[in-house]
Amino acid sequence: MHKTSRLFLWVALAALLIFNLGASAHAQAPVELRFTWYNDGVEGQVLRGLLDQFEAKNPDIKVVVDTVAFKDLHATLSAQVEVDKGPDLARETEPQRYYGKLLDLTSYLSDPKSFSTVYSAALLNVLAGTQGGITGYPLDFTSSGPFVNVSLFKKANVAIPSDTNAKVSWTEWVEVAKKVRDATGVPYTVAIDRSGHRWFSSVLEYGGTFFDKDGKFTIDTPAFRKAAEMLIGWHKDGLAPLEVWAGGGSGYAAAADFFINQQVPLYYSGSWQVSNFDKVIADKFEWKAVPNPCDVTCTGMPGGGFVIAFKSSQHPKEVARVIDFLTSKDIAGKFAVDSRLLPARLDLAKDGLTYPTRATDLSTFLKAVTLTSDEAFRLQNHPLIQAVNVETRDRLSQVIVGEITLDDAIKKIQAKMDDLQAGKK
Amino acid sequence: MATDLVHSTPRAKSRGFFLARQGAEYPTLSDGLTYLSLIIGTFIMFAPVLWVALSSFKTPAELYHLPPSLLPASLTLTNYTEALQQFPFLVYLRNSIFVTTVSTILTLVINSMAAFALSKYRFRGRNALFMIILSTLVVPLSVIMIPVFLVVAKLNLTNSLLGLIIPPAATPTGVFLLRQYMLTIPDELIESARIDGASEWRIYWQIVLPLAKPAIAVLAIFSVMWRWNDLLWPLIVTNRSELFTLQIGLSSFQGDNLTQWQYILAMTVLSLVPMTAIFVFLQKYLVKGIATTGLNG
Amino acid sequence: MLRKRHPLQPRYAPYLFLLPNLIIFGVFVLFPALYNFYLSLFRGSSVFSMDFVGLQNYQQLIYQEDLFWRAVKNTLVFVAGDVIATVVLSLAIAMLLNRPLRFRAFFRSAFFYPVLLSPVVVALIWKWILQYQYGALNAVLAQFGLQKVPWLLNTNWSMTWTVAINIWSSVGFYSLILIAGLQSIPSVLYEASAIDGASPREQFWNITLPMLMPTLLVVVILSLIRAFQSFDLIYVLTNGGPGTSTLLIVQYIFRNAFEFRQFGLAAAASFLLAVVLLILTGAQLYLGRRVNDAT
Repeated sequence: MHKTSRLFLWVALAALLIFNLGASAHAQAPVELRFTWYNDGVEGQVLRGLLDQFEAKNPDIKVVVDTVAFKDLHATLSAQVEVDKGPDLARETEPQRYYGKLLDLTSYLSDPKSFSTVYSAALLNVLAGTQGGITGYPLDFTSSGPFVNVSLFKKANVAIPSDTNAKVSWTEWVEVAKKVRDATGVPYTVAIDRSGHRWFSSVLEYGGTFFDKDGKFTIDTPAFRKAAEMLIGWHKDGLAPLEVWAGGGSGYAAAADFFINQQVPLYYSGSWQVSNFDKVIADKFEWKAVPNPCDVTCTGMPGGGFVIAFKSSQHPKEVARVIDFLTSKDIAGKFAVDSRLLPARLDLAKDGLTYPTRATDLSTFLKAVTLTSDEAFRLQNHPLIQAVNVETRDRLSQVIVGEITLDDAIKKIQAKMDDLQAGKK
Repeated sequence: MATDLVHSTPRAKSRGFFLARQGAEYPTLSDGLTYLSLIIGTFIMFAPVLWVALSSFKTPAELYHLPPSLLPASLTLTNYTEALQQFPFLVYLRNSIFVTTVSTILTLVINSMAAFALSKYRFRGRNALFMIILSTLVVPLSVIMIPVFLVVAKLNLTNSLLGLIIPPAATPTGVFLLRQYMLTIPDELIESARIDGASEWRIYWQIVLPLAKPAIAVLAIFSVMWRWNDLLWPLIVTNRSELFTLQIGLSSFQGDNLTQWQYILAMTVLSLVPMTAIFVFLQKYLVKGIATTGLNG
Repeated sequence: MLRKRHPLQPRYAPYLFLLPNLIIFGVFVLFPALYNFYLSLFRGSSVFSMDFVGLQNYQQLIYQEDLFWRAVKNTLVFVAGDVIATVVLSLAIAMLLNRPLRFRAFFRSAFFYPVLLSPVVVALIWKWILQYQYGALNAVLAQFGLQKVPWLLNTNWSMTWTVAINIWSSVGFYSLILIAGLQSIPSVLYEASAIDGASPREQFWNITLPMLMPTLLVVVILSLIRAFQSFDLIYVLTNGGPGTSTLLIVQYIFRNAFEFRQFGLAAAASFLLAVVLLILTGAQLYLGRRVNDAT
């Protein structure tokens, strides 16, 4: 005991020393900015490449990118930012979570006025929120939308309806997908991400709205019910894999796995999957993005990442220089092209980007963005989008596994939203 | 305590129970059943891990093939090399080892000191203190995480390995286990040491600690397991990748959009390696340590 | 030899020995636990700008939050199932492993191996095996011509598997504690009763079980605490699903704090949990003292 414990102590001391030395070596280095990041596909590598370029030109700044899983992002960032110990910069889907803690970059940026011309006012509003100013920039634009396994359609000798018809309804899509399933023997017809966000697009397509005239959440609408019954029916009839929606959070299979492994001809997700599929599916089979289903509207759900800066940063000037660099037209364009993402800069979107691969799919999604309805934007940019998203997802899952009825679910989602809105005032 | 009073050989005793009317010299039906159930049990304990290890060498196509094959078609390391490229395994490993080691030492020292005081002295407030410690035995860190985090932030311990190490160190469980064991150490030993002129610190360090070795070994194992396996706490205290532990790295492979099972399997196997090594090399001590502690309250 | 005055006088010594532990304990356990109660009286989405609402959070939990009650029910089922099965199984394994056997050391460590694995790893391993389409277990069932079962996707099976997996990963530890207990039972007792013609079954009920009571109590307390605190395993394995069939209190608290940012509500739920746990442990200690007095 005696000897071993002494040994342990020495080891521990030595280790401490090494760590402290490491820390002091850092202190003499250039200004270090921390950038919390999550990855959907390859964009992390692309960002690193661009930042290397930046550091080469700006030797006094070093940007360290800390990558976490998307599912862990909110837990780690909200806690850290709450106590002003957050990073300098972060990639986030919901700047709303941090109003009051964000850094107003207006006085530090080289050309703050240009922001209002190159970015959409709605997105800048999401960034500014209740605190105002320029608190970051929209990184990329996404739209939800469906993918089809072209190889399976060919094998089944079924035509892809959107090739000939601009407006294909969900009912038609599922019918042809069923034909493909029966002809090819794959286990499922349709898969959709377990996400309120993705499913909301079907509510909107059925003409649904989410708010009453005072801007309060109103859940119980005919479109909401219609879309819910469609989703529940898919699972009841075995058309969609139970693994996805019966689960909790990321506790189960991701819907994309079923598409990648050729078990489903029709998959509803969004534009961020393009770079993933490009890499993971490669040439195993032929696939493509198709326009959103159409009923009353043809909208998808918009989305996208933001880069936000935090007030607690010790180096606001340096943060602004990094943002100046990343928002410049050619760098932002290169980021979008190499990551196979849709650009958030309006001028880039208008000019059109040339993607080396999957250009058609990305232009399908770019078109989807233009079809996005106002209600979709209103919902996506609402401060409580995450809450309504999670609550809807979990309550619909409960209905799918038979714990509660759809009526109960609707009542409970409404109650939760009322409660949260009362809290917010 | 019974443990210290009776040293019966397990053989004699278990014969007393199981083989009361049989000779133990040749195999009997009950022996056969015992072996059978133990072999089944061993299979249940190891088979899942083995299956995962075998799966980790399979290509994605093999992973999604029906019926699954037992052995991978070829022993390729692609899953491992590709997964390793996606995060700095060695940095995370170093952090995990550092946090686990330092935290365990700290826990052992301060818990054993507290247990010594609570078991070997009579003093004002002893019972009250023990009850307070006991009462928090049952409050999981994950439940009071937000206030603990606020305290850690106030003390400027976020984004430092110390923030991972110190807060969980004063485990009530450790104090409880060690106190129960130290109660069984005869007070006469301590009295006579005192008469011989030993300082209180020497009594603790040279008499009580060595005698409590089995219990300390058990707590050490516990502590290593707890700290090595922590996920939530490190996730909240750190947001800098050079401070991430292995569990955070492992967790990051489960995307919302994509579950890359081939990488998860490979990383699972890699993170199994240190614990399996401890198991292979130290199993004798581990098992003996727990088995002789006799944690009977 | 003259008695020297020691730097650590017995009078102050216990306080000094307790000090380091008490400081860390006070700062990182006790204070946060009390602070947590304070937070439970407020509402708001930021810890630093909340409105005082008194006991409103508690009211809401008890009268409005159906998920809270579901979580309470699930937690009780999980804990009861886990503790009972752990005690029975670890006792059975301990008795088997206490027999004179070849390879006994090997068997003892075999059962201990899963204890060393992290909950995240344990969950990942079993998730892979219990997969509906490509899982090993369903492949075996299919070989025998049986129907595949959606183990983790069926509300009837998910809790059973969660408990079973939790036990798989911890039963070896409790068995070892019980082996120690078994070995401390004086063999004289067995020999004497054998002379009196007692059957093995009678010996088990009349000697083994009563003599083992204190050790069994330790097993019950440790497994109970562990069961109440389970988070990581379920976070990765089912994350509360399917539906809410494995949603435990700790998950519920985490969800409210980090998904909905209702910190006050989360704090109220954790305070209620702590009160229940306190009562349970108190009852057990009281019971334990009586058992100890009796033996």
